[in-house]
Amino acid sequence: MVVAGIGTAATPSRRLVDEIPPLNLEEDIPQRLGDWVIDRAIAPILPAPDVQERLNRLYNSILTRTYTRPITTDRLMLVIAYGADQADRTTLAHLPEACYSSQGFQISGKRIAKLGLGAREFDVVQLETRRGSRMEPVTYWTTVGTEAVVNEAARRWARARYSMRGLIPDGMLVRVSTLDPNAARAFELHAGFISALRTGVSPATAQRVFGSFA
Amino acid sequence: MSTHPSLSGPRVLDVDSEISSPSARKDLVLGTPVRIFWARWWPLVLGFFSLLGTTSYRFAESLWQQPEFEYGPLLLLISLWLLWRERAAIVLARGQGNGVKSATAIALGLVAYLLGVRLKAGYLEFAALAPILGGALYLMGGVRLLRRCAFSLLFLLLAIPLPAPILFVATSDLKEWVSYAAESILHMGGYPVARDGVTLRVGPYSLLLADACSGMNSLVSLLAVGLLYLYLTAKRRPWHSFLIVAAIAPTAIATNVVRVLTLTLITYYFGDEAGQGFLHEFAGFVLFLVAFLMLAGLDQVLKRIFPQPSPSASLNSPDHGEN
Repeated sequence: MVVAGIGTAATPSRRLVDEIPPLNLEEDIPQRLGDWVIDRAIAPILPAPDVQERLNRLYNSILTRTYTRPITTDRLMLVIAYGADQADRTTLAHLPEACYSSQGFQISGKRIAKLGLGAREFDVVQLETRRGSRMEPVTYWTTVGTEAVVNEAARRWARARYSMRGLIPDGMLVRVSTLDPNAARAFELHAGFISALRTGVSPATAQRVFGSFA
Repeated sequence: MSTHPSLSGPRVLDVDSEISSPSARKDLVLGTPVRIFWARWWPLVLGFFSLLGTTSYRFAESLWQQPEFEYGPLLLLISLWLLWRERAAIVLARGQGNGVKSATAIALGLVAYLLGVRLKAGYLEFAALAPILGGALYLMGGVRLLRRCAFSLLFLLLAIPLPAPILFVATSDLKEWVSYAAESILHMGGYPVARDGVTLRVGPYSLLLADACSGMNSLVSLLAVGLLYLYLTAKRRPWHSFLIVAAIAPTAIATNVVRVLTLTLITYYFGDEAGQGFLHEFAGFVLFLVAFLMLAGLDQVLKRIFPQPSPSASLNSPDHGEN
């Protein structure tokens, strides 16, 4: 019983989200980023009700936006899914590998790329996904607390380091995608947008979205 | 009788003969052995069950609510029931295990348990219960008691929630394979079918295989039910048991393909509603029964090939101790 008591005491109970300034994605992410502006012509497509229910359980807030570049008519989707508890696997942000394949997409390519953001390099994952004739290249990364991570092992390690300090980290999945059969072109477009996002947000928001290194 | 038989000079009891006598059984319920057992082992028993209790409480709020781990509590209950069946042997056992070895197992288990709790790694927290229980049983009754409770330990291991990355790979591979098999069979049957990843298109309908359709759950459940069946029914020769265990996974996967086929055909003939509604759940249940009956049928066939061993030559766990 003593051991069980210690076990219960060992459960991390302090939430990082309670100790840092609150995040309001809708306000913190500007509607204009460089030459990208929100595309109001396109209402975001809502997920199926059962999927939406799962998403509500999984995330505290989800930002879904379509940005467009008026000159080129490029369209790009930005999704930031934020969860306050990344320590527990039942509320851990899902990776696009899992979400896209459970929605019937096939993943035909995956690699880690380095983007130049300011003076530093920033790691992202580039996925090539396809469902039927719909080709959707995806660039994403995740954060745990104030760290950006791009692979499962690094994420596990970051979560473990927070947990060992008795802290429950928050975190997010940041996902940028376009409908484009030309993956190389799409990834370049994503990189440009991500760079605009980096310079377009306040330093405090950047620390949350890109991790403290950025 | 001493209430504290020394660890260094254990008295070897013939547990089987002792509990088979009616007076010993009565003793077991009312008399000194239980009291001796408690006086000696209460810290271990209470310690283990308080760990198990707090873990179950935690899991009931999170992991066990996930559809992919619904079977967890059931497997745990089976494990505890199997342990309860051996209560006579456990109570009558007299410290035959090596203290250092069991203390090591328990200590390692505790460290893993605390680490699992701290890191919210459910699989580690749960898996850590096995060396703790194993170490305790070994201390109480040596290898003999450990072997006797092996099935309880096995079910405890089966109830471990798989780590997410492993589960993800297993689920998506199974899904891919199941949809491939369903497509091939429907194609042979002359249906207008096309497959794109895990999406099956039949006529005007397009069916996306959900994670639940991977058959991962029914695989674990059928494994559990099959092992329990083997354990509780008559003795078999090792080859006989081995063949049945080896048949469990293919049977589970094959019936899951049949399930996906059935649902696809129901959708094809009766529309989307029919396929998604009641029949979805129902098909899962019926096919689980069918899978089990197929295993039982295989058992009957094997019985003719491998004659049952005579009771004296038994290697398998005998039928005993049930009330």
